Amino acid sequence: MKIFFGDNQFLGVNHSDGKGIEYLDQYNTAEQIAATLTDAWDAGIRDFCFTVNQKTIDAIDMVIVDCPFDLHPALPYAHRVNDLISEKGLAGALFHKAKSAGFYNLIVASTKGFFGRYDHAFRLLIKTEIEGIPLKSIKSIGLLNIATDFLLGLKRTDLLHSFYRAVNNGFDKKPLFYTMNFPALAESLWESEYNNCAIVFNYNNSGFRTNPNLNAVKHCIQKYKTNESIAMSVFSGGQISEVGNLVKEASCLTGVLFGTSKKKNMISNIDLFK
Amino acid sequence: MIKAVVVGAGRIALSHLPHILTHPKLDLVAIVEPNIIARFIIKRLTRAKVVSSLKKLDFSDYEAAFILTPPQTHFLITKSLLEQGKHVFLEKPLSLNPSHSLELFKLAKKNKVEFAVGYVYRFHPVFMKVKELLNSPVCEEIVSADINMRGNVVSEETPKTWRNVGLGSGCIFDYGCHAIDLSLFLFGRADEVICLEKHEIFQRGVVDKFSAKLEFRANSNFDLGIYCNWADSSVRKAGITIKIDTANDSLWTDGQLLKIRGKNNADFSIKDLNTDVPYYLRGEEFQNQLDHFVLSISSNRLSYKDAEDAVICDQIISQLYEKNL
Repeated sequence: MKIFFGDNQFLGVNHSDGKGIEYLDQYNTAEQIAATLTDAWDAGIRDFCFTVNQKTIDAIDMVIVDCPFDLHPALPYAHRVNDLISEKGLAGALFHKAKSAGFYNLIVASTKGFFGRYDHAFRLLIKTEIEGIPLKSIKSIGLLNIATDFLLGLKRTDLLHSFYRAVNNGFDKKPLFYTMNFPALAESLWESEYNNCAIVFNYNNSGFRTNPNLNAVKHCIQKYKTNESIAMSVFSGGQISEVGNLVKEASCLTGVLFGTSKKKNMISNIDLFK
Repeated sequence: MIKAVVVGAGRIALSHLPHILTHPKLDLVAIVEPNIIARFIIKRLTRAKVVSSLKKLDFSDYEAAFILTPPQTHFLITKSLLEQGKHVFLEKPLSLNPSHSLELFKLAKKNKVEFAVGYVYRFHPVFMKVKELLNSPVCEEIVSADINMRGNVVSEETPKTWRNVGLGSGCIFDYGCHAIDLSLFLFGRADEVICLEKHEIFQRGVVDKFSAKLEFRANSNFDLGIYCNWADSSVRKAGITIKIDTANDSLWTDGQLLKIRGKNNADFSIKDLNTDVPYYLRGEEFQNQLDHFVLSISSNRLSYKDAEDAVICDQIISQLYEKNL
């Protein structure tokens, strides 16, 4: 099973013990993030999943020579999008993103988009988002759950498929879809033969955001056992030993994603999942 | 299936539309949006029928409406729909005038239609747990309480929209009404409302920060402080915290964690509560709220308590505005 190191702690996200604000203070600078990334590398972690934002990109830049992680950037950063929409409105935000892609690209993307082909638009979006990240270290490009689940809710699976093609064909990387609605998304992608991608979803003993319910998620893991399923939020509920059992029970999981600020937790978690 | 229309395709519609489109008992007939650019975008995004005005639809085409327009438009749109016997979900606040709000509330009751107002925190798992605790022996005899809502959505550079300039703008209508509604949900109606401070930071006439004291004297005897600031640059993400002191315990929550300290000691986290929803986007509360609205209509068990509180909320807002400091 592959271990992925996550970045929730760097972004101040923590549902379990209220450490969100504490983490935000702890990871105020790129240097602080870089120090934890070095710990993760030393602990034996080789894959780093992160939301694209400048501070993390700067931290990667600091460590990538000594710690050549396989990188898994994901977009869009929800707070940045939210701020952009708040600041410029929906139309203004779209225009702002389009403008940063350049006039020619904008024309091509708009023309293709007009005819319902959005692959080019996604390629542009991804290109502008991953700027500054060493391309050869990137192994996958992810669509965060705020976007994945939004498109899923709008029933625009064609746009999810466009993202898939843009990543696969445009960048020769693996698409990674984050979701809080795993069974619905698995059906949209894997039933439609969009198989060369991984889905990252909540999986934990307490059933925290394992929608529509934990049993349905367990069933879905089994149903698509030949596909790449990566569990996250595995520590949301239950004792550590129970977490190990839960993950072992789902033997067809291909990976586990977790984030922590402590090196001893990195080491013990690796022991738990290996 | 309940045939429904969505009126307004602005930012909040992006949160509601995915839930509406995935709900098994809702059939979205059309989206109504007067702005041509927003209409173009929402049509491309949803592939739904999009029209420029409600007048372009036949009233018999739908039975429920989601009104997601700016507050100053709420009264007239909602009135016309309630008069036609449509069930209405209206984004908060109910209206800008308490007498208008009361009129709409009475109209909904008279026409026996469901009337919900978008106070989404009522459907948040952790705040629902707080409500449950308040009805249990754990929270007997409240001594004091605070509701604090802070965010960083307005600054000097923020372009002017209806949110931060003109009628219905400002922190009281945006954050304040959520905090006031939560106070009604958790503690009921206060006997006295006292505005403590109002600050206009960026624009004259637009409140960016305020605090108020709600006095409860009838069934219990305590003061509730409400503190709202939507221009707090130290905050990364908007959030609400609630603190309740009782004779024996102190309860604190930020919507993720819930801590009880004192005679009773307990910690709850949102992960300990039931968070299962058929479709998730931006928090369980959106799906829970929609389910409640749909269930009330489909089971014909119309509920007016939340809308009644929304009317009281507008009365409290009005009192806060009347107060000159």
